[in-house]
Amino acid sequence: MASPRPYSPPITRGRRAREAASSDRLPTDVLFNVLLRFPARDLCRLRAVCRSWRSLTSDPVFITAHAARHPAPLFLAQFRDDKTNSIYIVDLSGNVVKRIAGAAGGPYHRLQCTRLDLACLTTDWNRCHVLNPATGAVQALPESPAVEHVNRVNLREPYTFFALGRVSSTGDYKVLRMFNRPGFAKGGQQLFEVFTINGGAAHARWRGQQSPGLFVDECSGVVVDGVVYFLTNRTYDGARNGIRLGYIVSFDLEREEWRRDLRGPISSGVGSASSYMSHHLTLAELKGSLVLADRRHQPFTLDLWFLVDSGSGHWVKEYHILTRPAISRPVLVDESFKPLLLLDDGRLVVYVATGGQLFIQDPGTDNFARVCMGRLDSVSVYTGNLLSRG
Amino acid sequence: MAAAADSSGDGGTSSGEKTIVLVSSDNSARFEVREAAALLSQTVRRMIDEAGADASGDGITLPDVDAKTLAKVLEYCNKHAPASSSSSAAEAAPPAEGEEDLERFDREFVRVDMGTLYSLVTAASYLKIEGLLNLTCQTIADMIKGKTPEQIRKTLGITSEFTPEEEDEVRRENAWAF
Repeated sequence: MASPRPYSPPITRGRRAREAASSDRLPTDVLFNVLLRFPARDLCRLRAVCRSWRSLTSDPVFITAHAARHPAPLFLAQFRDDKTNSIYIVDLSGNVVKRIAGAAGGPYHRLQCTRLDLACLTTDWNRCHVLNPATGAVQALPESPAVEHVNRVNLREPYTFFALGRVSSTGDYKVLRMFNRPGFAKGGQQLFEVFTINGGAAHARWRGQQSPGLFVDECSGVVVDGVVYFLTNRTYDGARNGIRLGYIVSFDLEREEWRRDLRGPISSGVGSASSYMSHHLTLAELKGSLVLADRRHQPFTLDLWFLVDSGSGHWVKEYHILTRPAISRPVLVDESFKPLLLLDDGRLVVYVATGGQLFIQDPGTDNFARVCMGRLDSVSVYTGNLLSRG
Repeated sequence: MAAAADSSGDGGTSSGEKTIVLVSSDNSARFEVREAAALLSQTVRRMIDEAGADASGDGITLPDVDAKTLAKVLEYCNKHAPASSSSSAAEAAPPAEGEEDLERFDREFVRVDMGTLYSLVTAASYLKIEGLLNLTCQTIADMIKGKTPEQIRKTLGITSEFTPEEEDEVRRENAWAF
């Protein structure tokens, strides 16, 4: 049985007119589907096409869908010898996605290493400003100390450390500031203060905090989910209180209080001075967990311990690298080696500050591939969305 | 030639395959197509489920698709439909044609004027035919890529509706992208 031939009516003027009119507007869901295929930068350009494109690409539903569709990790980067003091947003291939001219503030400012939708640029002589890479908005934090600390801080030659974190339960962004070098001639107390970024005018001042009761190694500070973790200062506290290997102190930004009950995974208080010296420990944040990187020599090994349960202090060794190939040794042996980001496919991105370069490790191997781009002065992970307007 | 057991009252092709009749919006055209081709449309699938077995005798009317567009859509579906056979009902059936052949077909298929492309993408969206929707949306995206806003408006027949101040504001807000 043959199929009947389809019957088409003659093309009328009315029908032609209807067809012409319909080409002016794509159905919204189709437009959504089409625009979702473009990267953020192209979309910001496409906003200039017409009103409906502009409003669609600024709609929160679209922005969320777009982020899910284009999940490539982004980094905030500051390049060496960049006279324009710009902050750049780069992707994993080293391509520059966005450049914010002048955002660094000055040639000595450095990005704090965080994984947030904001950037924190600081010097260690009391300059700190917070940048929103999507909007370009900048907030400079006041240099004056908290009222409680006014006479205890050297303001003419300050020494500071800053850490920016986000309290997930309230959405507050807070900065922890440490003043003074330990062992400083005039008593050398490390003083701590907190500033709430989005707290409104009422809270726009530094608030003095308790001291943790021992010296922290401020340069070791990392922020994990609104908590700032430090290793103890080896020179001052290690000597005074006996060897306390891998002892970790933390400041909870939500509660604004210290905790001293977290032991690292390496047996502490045990061992001779030589075993103490043979471990080089650094802290990092990966996949929402605190990580302790333990590097040892003779033989050279690198272990990454993840704190899987901060309540019970339970650590799991997730990475163990015994370096063999010549290509990875220079990377791993470098003192400034810092794990930066763990990708969904298991690859590890690391930052080596000495050479100012990013490397990506093949999972399960010792091979590190360098990301091709200019040499960095500082880097951070950017989790925000470049399409958002606020 | 054995006729397949046919309980729905649809006509059958000479090989005994089940067919479905689809009717265009103005009732002007009726198309009899292989079930496997028609079911590429999730909308048709749902309509059949809802209507039940008996109602399919009169054919399924698609109120939002005119005859010319429906003919073209069915051209796509016939080409991309899985090679149906009762013996392979359990396994996911691949299309009857090879990969390369299909790619060539797709490339030629979207070489149409803007009006037709718009009708096709709108129909693909309404009929929920994933492959055709993806093909037509990507075609439109490719037409947009690399063009200035002015060129895009011309190609797609869009009016910007921006006032000069608004246009300035958009370019300023998104200056980094230009």
